[in-house]
Amino acid sequence: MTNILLVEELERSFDDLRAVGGVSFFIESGETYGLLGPNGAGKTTTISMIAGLLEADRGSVRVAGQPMATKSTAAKRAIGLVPQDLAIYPDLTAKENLAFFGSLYGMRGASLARRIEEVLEIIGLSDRATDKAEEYSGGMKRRLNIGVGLLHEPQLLILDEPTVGVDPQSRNAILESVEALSTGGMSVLYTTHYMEEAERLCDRVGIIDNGLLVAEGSRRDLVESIGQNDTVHLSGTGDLRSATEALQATDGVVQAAEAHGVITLVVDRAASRLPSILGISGEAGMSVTSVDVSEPNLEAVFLHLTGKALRDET
Amino acid sequence: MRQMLRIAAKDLKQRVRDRSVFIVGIIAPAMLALIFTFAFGDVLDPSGGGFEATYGFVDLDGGDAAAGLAAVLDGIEGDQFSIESYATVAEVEVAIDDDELSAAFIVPEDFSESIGSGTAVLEVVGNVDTPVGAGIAAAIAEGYADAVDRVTLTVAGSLAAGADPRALDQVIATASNIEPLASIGAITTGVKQMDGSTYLMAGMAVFFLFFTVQFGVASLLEEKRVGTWGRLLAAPVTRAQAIGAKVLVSFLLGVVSMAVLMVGATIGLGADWGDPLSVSVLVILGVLAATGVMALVSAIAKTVEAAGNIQSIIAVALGMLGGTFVQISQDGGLLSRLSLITPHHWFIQGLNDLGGGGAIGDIVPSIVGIGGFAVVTGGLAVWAFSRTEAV
Repeated sequence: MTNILLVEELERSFDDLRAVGGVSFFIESGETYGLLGPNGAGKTTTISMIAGLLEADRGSVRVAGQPMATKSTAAKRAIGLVPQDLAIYPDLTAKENLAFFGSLYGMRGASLARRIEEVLEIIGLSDRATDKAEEYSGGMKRRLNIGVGLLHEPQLLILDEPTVGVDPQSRNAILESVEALSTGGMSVLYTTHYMEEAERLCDRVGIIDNGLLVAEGSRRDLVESIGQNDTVHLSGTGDLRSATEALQATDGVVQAAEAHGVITLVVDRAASRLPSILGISGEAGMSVTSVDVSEPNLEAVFLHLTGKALRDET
Repeated sequence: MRQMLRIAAKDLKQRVRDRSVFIVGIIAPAMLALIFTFAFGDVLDPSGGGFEATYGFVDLDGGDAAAGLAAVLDGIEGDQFSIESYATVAEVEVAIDDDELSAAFIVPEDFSESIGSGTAVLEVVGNVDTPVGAGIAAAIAEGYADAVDRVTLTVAGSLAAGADPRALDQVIATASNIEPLASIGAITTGVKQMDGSTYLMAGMAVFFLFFTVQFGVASLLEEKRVGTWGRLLAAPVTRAQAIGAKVLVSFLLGVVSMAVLMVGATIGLGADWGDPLSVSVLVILGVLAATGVMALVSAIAKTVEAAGNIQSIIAVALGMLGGTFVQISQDGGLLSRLSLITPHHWFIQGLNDLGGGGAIGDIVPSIVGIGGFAVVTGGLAVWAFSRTEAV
């Protein structure tokens, strides 16, 4: 297989803040690659350099064999970008948005019109094609946002957290669309901080934190790298911080982190250790209201590697 | 170039659909120019066309000095000034209250006799509803008073030098050549410049031009706000092409609004702008100057709102300073010198020169003034854009 994207030692700082510090990875043709990391990890900055929106301080990006920089129009033709925030013209209709961006990629005439109809069908906006985007619901705008990125049938589709702030129904529709594109052979770079999305969509995942790629591989490879540990989520009230500290020192607990009222634990053979975990939590001042034990997953990998919970508000 | 044109075509579609560009670029300046024309057009008309004033004259003195003032007033009477004589102060005051008069000259009793003692007072009663006409009356009276002073001094000086008292009539006649009245003559003298309504239309057109061009370059910030700027630059489009498209839209909107207003003024107000080629040069340079400074603001500002505020302040400041409402340059002081840095001043100056029959060679100072402004602000805009991140 050939690499559709090759990123080598990519670095970028903003004043004294190092946003990306030497990221390297590749995406093979037809592969769906996930960049998984919490907010502020450096995902969007990495994507911006890959898409030619930001110049890298160091390192290089090649897309479909073409070097990428802010002036690299040839490399940009191979990419379809779906930014995290909406990037459509609210005062233009869906059709006009698609037609305009299609024209920038050299599409015109009957082929453009046909492709617009196809994309409208894919994103489910055929019956609202002539309505202005500002009249759409949030989910419809999100779908149009994706449609613009798909229009010119790019060799590499980059989706930057496309489901942030989206209702569950639209989120599922977006994920199904990405799955369909992936099945159709399109190479996809998908950034997210939702572990479930990365597990569902991606052939390989790169875990990024503090601007560094801390691990990379298939879901199975990554999970196996931390052993057969389970993930335990404790929800409750009281002194969660003290409980987290106490649990971190507990025998069998590999990692413990607290975020948004939930303590996430990576535990060796969780079933046998739950009684002691609950007891220690209570002694530390936490009143546990629910316990959830799950098989090893990417969230556990992230917690294991970074000591931080990936969980975020949804 | 094609990418630039595609983006510009999309922007123009949005601006046309938005319609606000028509309001700012055409309707607002046209309406304001018409309103100002109705309100002040006659006053601002350098040729004096249309201005009329009727003055009252009450002679309670009956002496030579009063006769002299009457002669002065007779001299200015014509198409624009009428003189009505009244017997009493009460009558003339009633006429003023009834708005029949702009002002009245009242020569009190013993006016002629008291001139020699320096206690003579010539009274001018103005109509508050016609401040311009009343002001002109005051100027006439002051001019006459200056002349009378000169007559008195001349007569005194002549007698002291041993002149023949029988020749005093000739001395008085000679000294009474009242120069200050030349200022009145200036009102009726043809001046080589635009008439009042044309001036106002030109002023409003160039004033609003600086708002109109904002719709082009400022849309760059709007694109950043709605997120499409990044998507544009992720497409096979260079940043120079995308910014160039915005500048092109500004330029086109500016040229179209100016052309519509000037053609409209020609048809509706009978404006005569002068040599079309030279006028076109002025318009194009004016649009470039406006685009340059507004592009600079768009390069520096962080948000659409900030850019709009700064651009409005600049547009108003340059417009006021450049004489789009009144010709500040006639003031002759600091403001006069400051007005030279505004493209508005040079634009109006150039149109004045062309309106008086000038050709391209006569507007070289205007071309240099406006062109220099465009080059400086445009250059600064390019520099500012080059120092900012693409997105």
